[in-house]
Amino acid sequence: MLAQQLANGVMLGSTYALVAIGYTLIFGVLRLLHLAHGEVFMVGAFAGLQVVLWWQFGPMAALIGGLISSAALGMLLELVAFRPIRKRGNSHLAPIVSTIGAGLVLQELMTKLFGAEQTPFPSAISHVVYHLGVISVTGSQLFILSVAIVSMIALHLFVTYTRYGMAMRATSENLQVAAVLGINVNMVILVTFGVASALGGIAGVLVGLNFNAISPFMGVEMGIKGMAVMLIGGLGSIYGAMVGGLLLGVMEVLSVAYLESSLRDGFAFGLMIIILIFRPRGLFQTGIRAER
Amino acid sequence: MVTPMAAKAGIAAANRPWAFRFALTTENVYRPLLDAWLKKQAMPIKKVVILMDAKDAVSSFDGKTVFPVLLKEKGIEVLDTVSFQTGDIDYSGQVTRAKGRNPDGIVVSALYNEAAHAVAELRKQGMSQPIVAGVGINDPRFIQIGGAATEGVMAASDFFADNPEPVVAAWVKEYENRFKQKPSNASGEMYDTLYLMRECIKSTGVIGSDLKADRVKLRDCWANMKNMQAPLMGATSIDKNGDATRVPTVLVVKGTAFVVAQ
Repeated sequence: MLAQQLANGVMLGSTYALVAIGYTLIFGVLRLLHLAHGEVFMVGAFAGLQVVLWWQFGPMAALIGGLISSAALGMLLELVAFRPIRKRGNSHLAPIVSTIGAGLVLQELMTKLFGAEQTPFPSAISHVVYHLGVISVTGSQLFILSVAIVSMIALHLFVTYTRYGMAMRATSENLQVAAVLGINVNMVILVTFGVASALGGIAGVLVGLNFNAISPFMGVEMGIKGMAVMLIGGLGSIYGAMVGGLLLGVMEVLSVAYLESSLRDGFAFGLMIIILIFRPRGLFQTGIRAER
Repeated sequence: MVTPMAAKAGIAAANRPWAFRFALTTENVYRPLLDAWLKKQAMPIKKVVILMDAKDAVSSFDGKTVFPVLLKEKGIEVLDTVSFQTGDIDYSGQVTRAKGRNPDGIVVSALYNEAAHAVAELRKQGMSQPIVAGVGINDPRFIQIGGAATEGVMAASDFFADNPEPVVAAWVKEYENRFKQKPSNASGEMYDTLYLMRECIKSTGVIGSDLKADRVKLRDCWANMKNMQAPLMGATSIDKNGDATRVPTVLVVKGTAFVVAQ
């Protein structure tokens, strides 16, 4: 059963990884904790749900719908909630508080539109079960894993080989110098928000498809777990977020399987605390320390 | 004070002599349910796994105390009690653990949302064992959320909206006309409780003139209730703990609805 539990953990962990990558991208570029990212993830899930309900399209359409809505929402948030505050002054807290406010607004909006209970996601993928040795996975789980892997590879290629990717990396190293070198920093920040939110939206639709339950408050827990993964993997490190997400997913599933379900979150945050104490720069040591 | 549908154990007993419970205690519901469930199986059930919601008071009490005692009465071994939390979305770890125990049957003690997800995950991971569930699932949304996976799940309910009996069917129709949705267990319980309260008021001649004496009259009416006919749920008596005794309806999920189990 251990192999199956590991497979379960990898499935769960890949969704955590996608959310955490979004956090870490924004933190890397702006040194900003985007506390509404969980809500962007949630809105993506609902957008995907609406695509499936209105137009009876399949999961790919839901993914694209979620991706586009989340990216749009993320960029809107940047323009409306962060840029004005960034321009104002040097307060480190004001932008973060602004993200909290944005998150609350989104939660309440979605609650008004969809109700506060969990909404089932119509299962558009067949639940054909594939047996790979001792592990059994369903078609939908394989779909999720492949989408997550493809997204992470696409992000890696984007960040490493495209001009915008290089601009993003330059901006995250030093915003002022990048501006001096002629990079349109505001545009880079907007694109970063868009990409990070798009990944969050994909994760939202994947969670809806796999776990068949989305609610306006799912962003809260996912957001906190995403932050924990970001801290575990290293602030600003994309690969840290990927590995950290998988690690967290596996740890959670193993704790539930062999211990008590109420310890699930305890393990997640316990791991985060241990990493912060013994390796404050995260597993993939980046130049950004958590104290800043 | 009469509660129409609180299910927490001991609630009436702890508040004697003024508290009464109209709903059946879960123990009184599960005993006939388990009998029916066991009788229905082609292969005898000797070992079960209990999946319960550890966060919800009623589900965790049933899963930890009520079900194990009743199962032991019937000579069934509980291999494992696996828990999840209300609001969980991922049940894969719990179900894989249950699968590893290789039980003959599964008991699910949770509210309709979590139970639907758990049952869907059970079937998804290839477990085809018969499932019996606690009172938390008595809601049409259990079937809506769980889909085809809920087929064959057995439960028991005091009030059953699709009961073909004429009195119940007529009441349900009127409810749907007025409120545009199907009545749930809660609606039926509340209606019957108010009905019986009204019967008590009529039979004891209470008119609100003497508050102190009226209270005693109503209390005694409830305390001494024997086989008073509640319109939707049948003959009701109140036992010495203040809890109601009645025969519940045993149900099974067939297609998109609960039906009375034969």
